[in-house]
Amino acid sequence: MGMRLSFWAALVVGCAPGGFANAAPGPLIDIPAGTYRPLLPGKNEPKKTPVAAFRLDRQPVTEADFKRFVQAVNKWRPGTVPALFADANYLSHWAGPERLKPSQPIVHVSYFAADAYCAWRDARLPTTAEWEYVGAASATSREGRDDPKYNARILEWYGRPATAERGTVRSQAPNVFGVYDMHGLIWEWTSDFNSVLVTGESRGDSSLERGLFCGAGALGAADPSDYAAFMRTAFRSSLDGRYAGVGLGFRCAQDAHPSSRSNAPRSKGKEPSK
Amino acid sequence: MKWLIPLALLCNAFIAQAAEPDPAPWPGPSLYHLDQTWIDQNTLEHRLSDWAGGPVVIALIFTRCTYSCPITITYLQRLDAQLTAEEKARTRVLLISLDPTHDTPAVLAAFAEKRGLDLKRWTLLQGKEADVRALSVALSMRYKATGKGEFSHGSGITLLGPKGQVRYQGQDQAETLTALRGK
Repeated sequence: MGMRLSFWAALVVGCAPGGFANAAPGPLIDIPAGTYRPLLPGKNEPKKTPVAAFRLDRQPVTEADFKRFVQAVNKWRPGTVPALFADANYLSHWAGPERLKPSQPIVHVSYFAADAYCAWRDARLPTTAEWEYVGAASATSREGRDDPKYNARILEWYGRPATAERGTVRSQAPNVFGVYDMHGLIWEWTSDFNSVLVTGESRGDSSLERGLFCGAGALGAADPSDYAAFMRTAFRSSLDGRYAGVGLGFRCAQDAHPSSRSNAPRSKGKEPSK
Repeated sequence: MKWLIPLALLCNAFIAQAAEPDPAPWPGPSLYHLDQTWIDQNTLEHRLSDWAGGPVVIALIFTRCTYSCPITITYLQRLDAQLTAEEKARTRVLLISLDPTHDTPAVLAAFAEKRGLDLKRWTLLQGKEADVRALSVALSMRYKATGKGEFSHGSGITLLGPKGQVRYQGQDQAETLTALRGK
């Protein structure tokens, strides 16, 4: 009787489609609404952009987190991912000699891999505005720029070589929002990293012509002294979604009142057979 | 008890379907790995891979664009005019909206009529905002909503080969045609 019962139990459990789906909810924290000052506001954009309340991961996604994801979702195993979604460096460090710690932030992940991970957690990547809004904070103030040592510390980190060993999350004090590691650990993907428009001249890239962009107008930097923001803007503008390089990871975000992952209503119809 | 084995096999087959991804027929860099759905100007649903089999020209536009998008559309119409009958039969044009909130199927249909677009071969698509963003990243194109219904965006077109690989990106007619006619 016992054998037959456990057989039936195994059969029922084994038939459950897709496995037991998503991981436990990640470490999201509520971020209150506020404003941030975009470095390169467009012609029609306010100098202080409002950011609605949302939720953000308190720390970057870790090696352990991402490993769980890859084990649960086969198509994101290294070697399985099409070149459209990640370059050859995707998770390359997992096959290398480096001794990895579970609480190090994950790196060598492309935009699409990061996006897929967040979707797996019923979350999304933060927008650049959301990231910069939280990233502007120091340990004591929402405007870290008020602290003269703040920018200096960030720039000192930017000056370190990429080959320096990656620290673990939460090694430093959190900022005033309670969020860890917005600076000093890794660069991070944002959902709209490709919304950064930089003209060719300033970077000596003659293939990127001003005429390629409509509506660009005259983009002036809001605060030329915020060199750290310049660095991040320049970095984002250099990224391609497939890039799975060293030193680049991510964290997830969520709407304050999460509904469906993507927005915009859409009229639907049935497709006739082609 | 005889029926238990077929039942177990059936369950295994079900698990196998659910757990393993379908091996994609597309090469690694093909855009057709994107499986998001899009709605056209007739409210019919599509995946990008529906257009596999011939050259596909993709442009990211929005109907309220008054600057570069009209130029892009004229560019595409001129390109069309240079194709042979055989090339025309195989080539399709996709105009994908950066502004899905405003550019509903009805708006896209009206826009197509106003511009006299050949809807036998041209399709206008509306997607979810997150899917438009993902497509733009896959195409290495940039765009940004700059407020008041305006978008800053790159204006080059993308030419895909029959299996969804990018053959050309840019704004040069001659180069587009060369790529389209190339191997």
